[in-house]
Amino acid sequence: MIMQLGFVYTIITPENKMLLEAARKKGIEAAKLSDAELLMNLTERAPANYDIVLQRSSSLARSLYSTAYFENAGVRVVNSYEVQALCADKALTSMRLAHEGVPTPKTMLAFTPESAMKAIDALGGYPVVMKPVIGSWARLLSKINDKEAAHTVIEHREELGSYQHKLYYVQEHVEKPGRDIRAFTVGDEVICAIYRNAKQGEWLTNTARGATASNCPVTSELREIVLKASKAVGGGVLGVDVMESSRGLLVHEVNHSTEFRNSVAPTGVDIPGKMIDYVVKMARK
Amino acid sequence: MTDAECPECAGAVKFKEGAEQGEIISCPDCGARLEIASVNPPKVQLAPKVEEDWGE
Repeated sequence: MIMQLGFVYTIITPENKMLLEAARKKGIEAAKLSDAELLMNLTERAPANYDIVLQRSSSLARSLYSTAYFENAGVRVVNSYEVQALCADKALTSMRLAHEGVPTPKTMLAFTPESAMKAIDALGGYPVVMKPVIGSWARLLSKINDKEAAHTVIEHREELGSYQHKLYYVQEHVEKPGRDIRAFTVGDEVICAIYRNAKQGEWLTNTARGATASNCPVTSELREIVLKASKAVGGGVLGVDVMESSRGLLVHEVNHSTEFRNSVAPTGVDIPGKMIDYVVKMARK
Repeated sequence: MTDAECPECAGAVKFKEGAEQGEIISCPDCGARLEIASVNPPKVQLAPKVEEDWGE
């Protein structure tokens, strides 16, 4: 029987195109479900038209609601609502990682400008990193070097409008060797990893900020911490971000809809093929 | 196959082989960010704006 794979997307990104092509190579023509066109009747049970849904929406809100919709209809979604909700929120991720004993940077959450300043002191002072609890591609990330800068960033965030900018997620600044690691997990396997090498003069290591990718060997130490992080958030198809610090490897983020357009070439690993294999396996479970 | 027409500048937009409906491309004339609305017949529309909750 041919597998019915639903594929939720906002736009066909390079990753989504690679995933659709990988599915075709395995004889699966995914049903492309544009989230902009989804009509979800919430008061009637949705027909379970798919064996499994691969969630690749670019929008977090659309991703969460459409995942809940399909799961409510009894359709398994990769990744699950629970995993997405945890990974999407940096505060929830930090708590879960720490709770499960995954080494992670020291982090605090505060709700007012005054308590945010106290959180910085409690972390041991400057520099610190302030991040929106929800957000991607290094959007609005600030490395704060002193008290004056902290006041400025906090004042700006108070004016930004969305309540989420008034959730002060403050993290110790971890000195790293101009790079961090993105490891790709599929189920209980770490399929490969890349170094994300920061652009010269840039503290951020996001490829969206000009960082370049090179192959990172998956050592037993890396495998162990990455699988522990993956398990901590519920597992699935994930991109785990790891920093090399003076006190060893630290996981600072887990991505539930990971990008990999620049990672296939340096690693030589068929990342989309392995992701589709996992989806097929989960559909048959 | 005829070309798609850019809704911004009316320039001709050619699709590469393997073009996928929903894919984002740039207009070669004006640089507008376009979404492939249909591969056959070739049609494009302005791509959706990147929103604050977009990401990975």
